[in-house]
Amino acid sequence: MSEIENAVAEYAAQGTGLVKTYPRGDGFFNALDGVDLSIGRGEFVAMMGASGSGKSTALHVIAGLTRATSGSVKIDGVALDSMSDRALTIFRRRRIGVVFQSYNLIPHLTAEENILFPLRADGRKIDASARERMAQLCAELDLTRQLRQYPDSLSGGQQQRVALARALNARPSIILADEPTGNLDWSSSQDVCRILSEMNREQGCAILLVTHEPAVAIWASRVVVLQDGKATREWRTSEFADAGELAARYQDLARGGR
Amino acid sequence: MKFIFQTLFSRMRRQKNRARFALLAIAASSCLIVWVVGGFNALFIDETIREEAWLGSYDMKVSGPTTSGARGRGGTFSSPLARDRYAGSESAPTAQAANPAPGQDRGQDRGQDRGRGGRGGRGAVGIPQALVEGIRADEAVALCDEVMELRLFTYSPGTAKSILEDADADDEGDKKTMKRSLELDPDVELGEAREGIDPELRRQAFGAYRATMGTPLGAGSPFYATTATEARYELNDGRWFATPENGSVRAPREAVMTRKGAEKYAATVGDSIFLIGKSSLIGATAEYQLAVVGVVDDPETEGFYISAALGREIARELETPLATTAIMLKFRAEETSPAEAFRARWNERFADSTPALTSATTAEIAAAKEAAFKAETSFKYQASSGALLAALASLFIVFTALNTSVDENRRLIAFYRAAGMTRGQVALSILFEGCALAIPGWCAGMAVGWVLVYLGTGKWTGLNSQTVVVSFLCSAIGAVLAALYPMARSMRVKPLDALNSRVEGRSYVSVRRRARVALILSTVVGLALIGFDVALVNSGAFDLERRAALHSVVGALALAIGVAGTTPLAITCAEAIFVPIFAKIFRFDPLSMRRELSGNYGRVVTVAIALSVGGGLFTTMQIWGYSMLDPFLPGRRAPDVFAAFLPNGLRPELVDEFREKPFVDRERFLPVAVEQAAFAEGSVPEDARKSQFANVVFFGVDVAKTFEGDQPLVGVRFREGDPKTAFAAMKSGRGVIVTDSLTVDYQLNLGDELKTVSPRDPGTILSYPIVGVVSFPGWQWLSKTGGVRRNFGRSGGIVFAREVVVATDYQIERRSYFWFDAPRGVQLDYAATEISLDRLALKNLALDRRDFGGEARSDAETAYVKLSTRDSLTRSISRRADSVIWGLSKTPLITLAIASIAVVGAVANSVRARRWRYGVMRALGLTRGALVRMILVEGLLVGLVASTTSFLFGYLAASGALKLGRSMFGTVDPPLILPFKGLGLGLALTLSLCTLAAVWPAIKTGRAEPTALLQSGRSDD
Repeated sequence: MSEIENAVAEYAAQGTGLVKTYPRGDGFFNALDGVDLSIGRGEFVAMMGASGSGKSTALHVIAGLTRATSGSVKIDGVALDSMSDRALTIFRRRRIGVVFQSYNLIPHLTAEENILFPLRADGRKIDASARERMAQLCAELDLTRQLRQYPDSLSGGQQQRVALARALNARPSIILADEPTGNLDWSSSQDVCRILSEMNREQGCAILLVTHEPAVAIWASRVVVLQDGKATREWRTSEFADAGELAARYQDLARGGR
Repeated sequence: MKFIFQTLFSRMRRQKNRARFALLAIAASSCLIVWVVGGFNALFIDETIREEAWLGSYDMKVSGPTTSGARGRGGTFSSPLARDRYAGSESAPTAQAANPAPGQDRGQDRGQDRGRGGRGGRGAVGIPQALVEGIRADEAVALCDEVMELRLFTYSPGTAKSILEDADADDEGDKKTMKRSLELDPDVELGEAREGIDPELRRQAFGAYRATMGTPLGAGSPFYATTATEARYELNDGRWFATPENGSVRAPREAVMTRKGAEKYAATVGDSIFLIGKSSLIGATAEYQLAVVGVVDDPETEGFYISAALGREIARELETPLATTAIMLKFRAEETSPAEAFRARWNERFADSTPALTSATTAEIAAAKEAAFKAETSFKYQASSGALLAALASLFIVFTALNTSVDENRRLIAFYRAAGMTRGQVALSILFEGCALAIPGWCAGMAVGWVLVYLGTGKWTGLNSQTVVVSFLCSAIGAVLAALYPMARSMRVKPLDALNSRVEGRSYVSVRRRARVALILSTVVGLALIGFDVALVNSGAFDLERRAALHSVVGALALAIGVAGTTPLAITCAEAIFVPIFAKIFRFDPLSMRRELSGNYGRVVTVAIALSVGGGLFTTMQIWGYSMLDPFLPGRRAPDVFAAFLPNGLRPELVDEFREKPFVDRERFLPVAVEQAAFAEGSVPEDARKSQFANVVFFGVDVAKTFEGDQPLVGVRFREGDPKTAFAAMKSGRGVIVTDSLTVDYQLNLGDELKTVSPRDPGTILSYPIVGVVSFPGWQWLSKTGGVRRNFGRSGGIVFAREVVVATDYQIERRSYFWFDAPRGVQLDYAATEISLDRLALKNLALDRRDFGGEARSDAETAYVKLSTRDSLTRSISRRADSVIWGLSKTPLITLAIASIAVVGAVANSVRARRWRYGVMRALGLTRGALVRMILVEGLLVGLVASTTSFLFGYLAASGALKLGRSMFGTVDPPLILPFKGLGLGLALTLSLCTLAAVWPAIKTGRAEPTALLQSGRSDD
């Protein structure tokens, strides 16, 4: 694992010719149909698409939560396809942070225990420096007072911030966020986006964020649009003055425009 | 309604595996009830109350003196089974033995002379022929068959083979003895040498083997010579034996076996059996070969039926007395209440007869059997408590299945609600789901249970009204009851709950608080109920009988619920103690398993209770069985060897020769004067005096050598009295020390006078002051060795007195019984010792013949020694006890195995319900292997909890049974023994079953991708 751990590549994540097929009815259905996607080191990319366009599947494949039917995925230049499940799991907990729409906090563990879970699963000792790092992160995320609480006593925004803290705590090289604002109100959504943006800017952590909300996608530097399992468009957010413009372009595309 | 069914079946189709597992679990629990209730019934209870079978097609049995009864005042009925149980080393009084010549050692009893090879014949006291003829002529009697009992050693090719096989499995000592007797090369495997062994040598080997088993007397097989010309019991196979044709002097050599006999001897129709008469190690003198022509379903005996003509022929050739011991009657159909009318005519004559006769109808036998059964065993109690636990387990299993369904389908139910289903419709669909799972599960469980009971017991008795009703109540009605809470929960599901991560809108903190309250409450209630049973068992407020009754009904229920109540505490403790340990061993983060068990008490409690049905009963059997066994085993402070010279004892000069034998430590050599005497009227409570054990065996010994000094030959522990004073009183007068069984069963205490009737002269009452009451582990076997039960069957206790007192009171001139130790450092060679002492016995016989002008001193034609060693006795008793205890443990073990099916379902559903959580863990970096190990460890922990509850229940139930059954078989306060071998096996089995139950769910979950697990949705939290 050490070679893998030390690998440094041009791209934080790179997916080439990703195909993911699921059985449906009597036949098969391609959730991903040859997606090529690259995320540079320290880059913040948003992936947009309609429901069923394959954006969450793409994120899961890149995160190694499921295997692509064909194609290859590299994180930090390390190919995930040839890894054993064990190696992939260990790689994921060390190099990839995953944030889910429904937070996916373990209900029987406190916020602190949830945040520390990936480190503990990795067999790392939770020493003073680890606690300090967590405390700092929690202070940045305004979670200090919620650490002893159980997930279901937290608000949605707080739960998502705990999930963010959990993803960031292991210092991953990339954060993969699957509609992290999907269950949040506008204000909480913007909070989450701000935090992600700060992490990206200050820590150089690459981010791939899946969303269907232009107001969220606009926080990224680049937007990739998926349609029917294919990456059909790519925009720089700098092209747009605001989220409204992005939304208009996206709606045009959805209606069959360019 | 149709719509509700549609949603129900679509839900079940969607979750086929959950439905399958739930169905399987319910079927298993239903099967469990059928097995526990039906199995116990088939094994123990039904046998005792199956009225039609006891006497076959006969209506009444008139019997003479019984083996186990004191002369003429035996039990209310006499059954071959009762005789079989107590036969082996007891003897019936015989005409000759009843009044031996003055000065003659009563060891000359012909009745005792049934040494190895079986002298045959039980004695000449039978039902007078005139009486038989009178009964036959009675107007109400349609059929009158005589039964005469012979006892002969039997072996068949199958039996001989099994003996050799047994020897193969036994320790080296037994094998050596066997090989030496067979004159085989020590290196030859016995199995290989089985064929072609000379029959004579085989007989000798048989004798030697019996000797090493510690039962030199051996139990001959009972043969019932009957005048019945056709089968009076149901014929299972073949036909009834043929009777001699007119004019024929030789009866056909045919025998009919009883079903139990066929099972015991592994023989079937067409096999041959061999009877040996008058054999010893020195040689057999007669052998008969009989063909087995049929098997009858006589439930009582393991013996054989032969024709009266054949019986008389054998008895004549063996010079064995043969008398009618029972008359089997069938009344004319046209009579009303023929039994009562018959008794009115005959009872007085029966009472006046010598010996007195008793009569019993089938119903009376069944009632007496059942009463004896209830009084003497805890089987019914075990069956009841087993059924109770099985019912509880069944309820829990149904409940968990439905509750899990609500958990798992919470979102779906919310969608139903959102789509317009009313709360009532949702609740009905849950109720119907319970029924849809329970009714087919119940049917399947009953069918499987029925077959299992048959496979386990050979009886189609698994299904009776009791099992059908109990299993239906538990499975079907239980499903409705178990559905109530899930129904209520389902009704509380709101349409918006599909998006809510909380459990029924409650926060996890609130759930935890509730769980904590539940833990405390259930523990308090559980401990209180356990305390109630313990208090009941130890309470002085009720007498023993009432306490036993209360304990078996109220106490068992309290104990079962109490143990179930403490299960959450066991879960919490197991989690706190073992999770960190197992996490370290199996390399996963203990945080991953945090509250996996205590997060859902109901799930683990269900599994623990399901397993505790079998595990608890198994533990009870093991602890109770081995605790009861302990007092029967010779203690360390008992002589090495017990020798009985039969039939005439040893002349004084030969006693000296015996003492000088190289295998005898002359300083630790003890001639013993032995007699068995009944209690005198008025000396003990009348009820107790009328029991069949109301007699004691006197051992007249050298008090100093037996009890005093640094290393007494016999170790006793004084319960009442002072040893020094007691021994002084024994040495200087008529003082006796008695076993503590007499204080419990006959209320004889220190300072009381023990009064007995002289067996020689019933008019003479002998009196002895009791100067000590002692605990003497294994007094029962001491009263069995060497045929010291001279006049009666089992004894109520033993009495030690000065040798001269016993010898004088009971006119014992010669000593027949000797206890001795081997010299220090000398390893006793059993076979060599026996042969040496056999020669001494024959020398005694020769000297007697010389002195009496060629006549034997009695009618004995041979003489021999019966030898028992402490080790062989221990081994023999342990073997028999092992066989009985493990036989009884078979049912609980199978129960455990059946319960494990339910456990598989419960564990699988439980793991399924947590897939989402596992998915999160996997997404966060828990490896596949760690997840699999974690689920397996959870199974292991559930097993530990189930083992703890099983042990707790078993320990408390067994200790209660020991306390309340303390006078059973004359044992007083048996020590509580924890048989680690058996308990270890139970623990290993429970842990293995639980771990194995978790294997498939673990593999299935481990193989799934994190995404798949995450997509299965959250349901448990």
